[in-house]
Amino acid sequence: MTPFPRTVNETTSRELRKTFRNPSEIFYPLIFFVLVLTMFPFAIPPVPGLFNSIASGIVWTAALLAISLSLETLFKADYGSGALEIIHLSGADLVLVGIGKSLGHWIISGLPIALLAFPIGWALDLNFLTLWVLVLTLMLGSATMSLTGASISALTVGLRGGGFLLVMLTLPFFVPLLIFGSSAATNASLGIVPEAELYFLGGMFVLSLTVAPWATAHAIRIRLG
Amino acid sequence: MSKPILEVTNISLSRAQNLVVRDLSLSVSGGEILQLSGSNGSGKTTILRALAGLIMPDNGRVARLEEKVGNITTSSNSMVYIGHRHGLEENLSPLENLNFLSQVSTPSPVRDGVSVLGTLGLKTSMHVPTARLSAGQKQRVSLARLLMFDAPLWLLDEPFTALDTSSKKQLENMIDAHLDRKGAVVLATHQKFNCKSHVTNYSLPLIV
Repeated sequence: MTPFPRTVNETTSRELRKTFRNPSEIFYPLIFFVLVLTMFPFAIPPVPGLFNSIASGIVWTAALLAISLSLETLFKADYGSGALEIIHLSGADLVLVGIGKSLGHWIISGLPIALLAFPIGWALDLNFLTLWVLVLTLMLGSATMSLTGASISALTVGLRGGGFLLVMLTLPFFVPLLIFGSSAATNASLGIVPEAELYFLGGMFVLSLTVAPWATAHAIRIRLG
Repeated sequence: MSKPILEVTNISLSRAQNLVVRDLSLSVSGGEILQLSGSNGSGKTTILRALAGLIMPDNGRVARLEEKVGNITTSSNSMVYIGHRHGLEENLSPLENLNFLSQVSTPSPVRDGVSVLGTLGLKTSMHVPTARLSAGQKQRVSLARLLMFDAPLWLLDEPFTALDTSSKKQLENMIDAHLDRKGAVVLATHQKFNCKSHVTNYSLPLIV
């Protein structure tokens, strides 16, 4: 039993099941995330303290890009196979389907990225408090990205150049998350309590949870019509 | 004369900004089967999608009767649409695909996935990933929705595609049984098929 409505549960478990049977979809964003963070230290000058001061920003940027890239596949297969059409015609509540899709996407992209940020941040010499703030902000930020990204992914699915359009349309929504998320972690590393940033990210998450699933449902109807 | 299950009044439909159907009116009552025929590009699929509510007509009206019809046990969803695409997630098994639908659909289906897949001769392949099934088997899984949801109206777009002789016969029997229960069928097909009831043919002109 979970606290979610049945449609959310079923949609999420369908997303997880189909992804775990074709795990490359999970690994591509994670490999991208890890590769960017592994390569970056080689590209900056060996100035003492420089990397430490920009590390959380780099982790956040890599996470944002990895999640953006994974959003394209969210509705692609269901749209192409006609499954989305059938779900729509079956009278399913598309708002709940949107929440289920977003939750599934977060579990396979945002959550593992946030958890991976802990050992990677530790390897990048971030202190313990900064690591916790980084993971927390990534969890909140990635959940917001999955929710807002799902609506734009639904709107651009099946369009020629839809992948490019998706990245272009999601970035303006994601940049504030990047600014507040990375500055929270940077402030924590300087010993400043990142209360304001965390409240902002929490607010953005609640706002996206309140608005984005309805936008996703509407976007699905537009694309099918 | 029974009340029509589907009534279409003066609809015009466009595909990619091109008019493909102009001022079409038709009605289908319980126990009737309507076959849409016409050359490729005459708008058969477009009409079926409009009847299913997937396309809004440029003008005119599509009305579907949503109440209980004839001796069909439940009104369930008012129609089932079987399109060109099978609508199945390839990484999931046929049973998982149908179970998901039965969990999210409103109202719930009248038969479960196991029994309808068994009826359609897919008992041994119901747990196999859909990607491993043949085109004909996928089409049969898609047709399983007809039995799951006891809807009064069936909209079938080339339903006999990829089916072997015995599966085709089974679908014909399913259509006959549906019509006996005062259900209605609108189908588009180029293939010959046998049906106990009189098939009304609607030939579509090609508008270019």
